[in-house]
Amino acid sequence: MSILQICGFALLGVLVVTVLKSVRPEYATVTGVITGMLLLVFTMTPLASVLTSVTELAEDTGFSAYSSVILKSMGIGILGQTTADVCRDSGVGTLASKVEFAAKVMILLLCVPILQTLLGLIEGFLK
Amino acid sequence: MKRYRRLMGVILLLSAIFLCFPFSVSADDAEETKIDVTVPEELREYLPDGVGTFTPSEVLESFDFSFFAKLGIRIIAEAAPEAAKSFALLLGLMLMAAVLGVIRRTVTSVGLQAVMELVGMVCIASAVFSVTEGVFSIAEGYVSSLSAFMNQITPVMAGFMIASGQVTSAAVVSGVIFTAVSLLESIVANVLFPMIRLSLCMSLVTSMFGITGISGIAPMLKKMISYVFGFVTLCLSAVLMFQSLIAKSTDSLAMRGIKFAVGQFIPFVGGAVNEALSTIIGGIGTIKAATGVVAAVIVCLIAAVPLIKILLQKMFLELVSVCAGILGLSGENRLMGEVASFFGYTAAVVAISGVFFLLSVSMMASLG
Amino acid sequence: MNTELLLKVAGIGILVTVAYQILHKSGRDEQAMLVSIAGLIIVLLMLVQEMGGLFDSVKSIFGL
Repeated sequence: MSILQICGFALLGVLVVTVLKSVRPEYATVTGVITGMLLLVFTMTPLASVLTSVTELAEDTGFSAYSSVILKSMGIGILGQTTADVCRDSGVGTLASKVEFAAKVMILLLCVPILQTLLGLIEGFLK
Repeated sequence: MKRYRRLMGVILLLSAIFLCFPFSVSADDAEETKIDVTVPEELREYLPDGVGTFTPSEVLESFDFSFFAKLGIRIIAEAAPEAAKSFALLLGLMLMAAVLGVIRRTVTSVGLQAVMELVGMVCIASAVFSVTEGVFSIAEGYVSSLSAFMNQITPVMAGFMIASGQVTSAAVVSGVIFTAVSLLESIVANVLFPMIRLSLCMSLVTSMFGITGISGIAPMLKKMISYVFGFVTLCLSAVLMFQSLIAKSTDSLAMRGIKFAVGQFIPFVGGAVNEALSTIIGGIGTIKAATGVVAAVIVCLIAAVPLIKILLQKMFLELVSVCAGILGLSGENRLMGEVASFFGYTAAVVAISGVFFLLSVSMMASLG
Repeated sequence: MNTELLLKVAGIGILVTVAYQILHKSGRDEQAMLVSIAGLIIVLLMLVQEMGGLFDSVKSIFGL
């Protein structure tokens, strides 16, 4: 999976979208979305290997709760961003901002137990 | 020859006093001579074998500069893996946060970026906090063990002074030392360490969340800490004034090296400690001559071991902070830099108390 | 490399356009409409399948 293949694929997608935009505009947006999804799927494989090696490193440290939180927030961010972009491309900007807002809330939700742990640590520290 | 005979006589007197004075300590071997009794458990391995029975020449031979140098290297070698381990942990966690940071920057929405930054920061802060607790417990344990040792050694020295006929000065000096020990212990335990902890938490919170509202409190607390340090250093200088009895030592090359190193690593009181060091070396010389060698070495050890441990942890934390800066985690960089500077304050507290007690021991010994 | 999917979508789009034009020219507008909608539905189904695959892999990688 080289960068050349990925770039070539993206350019191909752009061409198809441009062609279809003049004939059937609705197909154009769908094709754009599909191309984006496929590209994301392609990048998932190398990303997975990077993340597994870093997770192993973090697990050795014993702070595995923290590393899983960081990982999950990464995933939420990527997904939320992608979906928001798709919404924006299709012209529904309001949906995009709602999706982004929802992603922020979910990440904050993840953060809450860690914050509680931190506050407990601070409390014990100050005694 | 006359000096040697005096030394012998003093040693015999000391052994006689040790045999006469009962010591209630938790020693395992009651058969060993009483000098061994006052050694705290964890320091026993650092002293040469058979420390209970020695001749004066052996003492003067074994506790020379190379002994201290080897001891220092040994303490560092023992403390380093522990410190390195806890900071390898932090480094691993930081790598994860760095990967998060890279992905975060590809996300275009500003709000999402801010939230992800928050998550990374909170995780690293929790990890750093659980590590700092260890350092503070080292420092606090040190102070209590040092004052316990001082409370043991003062009657010994006082008895020694009584035996050589200076009853009133023995009473005065031991009274002064006892008061000073308890005063310093309560100042350090009830004022200095809680203040350091509190301002550490404040700095952490402000650097973590970038809250500007309470950012005025942290520098104010830092100022208060430096005032208390200044006060303690003032008392130290007052004690130094009374040390005119102790002859100043010669400025040997090794002592210059130690002074320079101390000045570099310990903030605030580097100057005062350097001043005190020349007096200490003179003090140590006097102790050596007056047979309190073992007590002096023990005081040095009690002060040096936690100091070295704390400074090692500080160094590793600064290393991790630099790595955070390189990986682009500016918030975590700031956080760890703050914690490292607070480690420096803790080390300064340990250094002051160590110097103070060493001076007291030397003062008692010189009057004897 | 999943270029086939993309080319399939492109192919369907072109097919539907051609069919639409032919049917439109011969006056069967409703059928033309049906054909274009059918093509759209097929393409959307492919999209949904692909999305499902993507979400599954993201879930497994990030542990969500």
